[in-house]
Amino acid sequence: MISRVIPVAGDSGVYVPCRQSVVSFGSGAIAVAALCALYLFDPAEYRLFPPCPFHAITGFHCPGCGSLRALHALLRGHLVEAFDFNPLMILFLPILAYMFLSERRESFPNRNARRAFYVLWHGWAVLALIVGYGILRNLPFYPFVLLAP
Amino acid sequence: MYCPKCGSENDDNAFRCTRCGNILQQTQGSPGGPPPSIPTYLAPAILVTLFCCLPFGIVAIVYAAQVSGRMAGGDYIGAAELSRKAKMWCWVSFGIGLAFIVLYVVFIVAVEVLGGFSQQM
Ligand SMILES: [Zn+2]
Ligand SMILES: [Zn+2]
Repeated sequence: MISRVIPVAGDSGVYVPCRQSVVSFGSGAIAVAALCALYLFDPAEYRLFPPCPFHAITGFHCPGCGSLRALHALLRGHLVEAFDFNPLMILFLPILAYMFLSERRESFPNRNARRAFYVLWHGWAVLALIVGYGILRNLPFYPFVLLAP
Repeated sequence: MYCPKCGSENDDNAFRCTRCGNILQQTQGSPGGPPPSIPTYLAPAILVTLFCCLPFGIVAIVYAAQVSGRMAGGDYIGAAELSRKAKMWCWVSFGIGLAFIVLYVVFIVAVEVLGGFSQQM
């Protein structure tokens, strides 16, 4: 668990680095390191990247299976190949980018666009999409085999 | 309760957060006043679901999905609590995923090193 910062009463005059900035810097650094490793090494060839624990245990594909291989293909500029490994993840990249931007800035690009976006990409819709996708990509016949990595 | 802005613990009926001064008690549907922003953590929840390959990300999405509904209904305290749970499950999923990767890499390196040793001998 993340340690909670004890509330400081009044101004102590001591600069304490904000926990949130440390956390965002840390996760940012991890993400950049992971992307560099993904660019350099193909997860399909190198054992450096772990297999999906869900797939290893159950034998089924989870909604995230193929994400690393897809990201590697995308970083190398192979869009079609990336789409082949995990189409939903590729579809979600621009949506996630917008979500992160709009969480930071309330009215990005404006309130109405933001509202319309979240009507369509509401949490329940996202949940249904991801769970449905997770089930469909395990079906062993056409066209669902296209969804498997 | 926890401050939805900075996450520090406060008295249940505190009006302002002792750490960041964020207003904690919302008068129901105050007209004209800007609605408080309580993060839904939907984006990080999707991210950990698609990259950590673990069911905890789904739990985070379930909590994240309820935040905006509570906010629309004026229940900011409930929304903040769901937001906190969504955040917690995002970190649980991320932490377990990271721990798994680190253990896996250590295991692979150990196997390679030991394998190299046995080949030399
Ligand atoms: Zn998986
Ligand atoms: Zn606070």
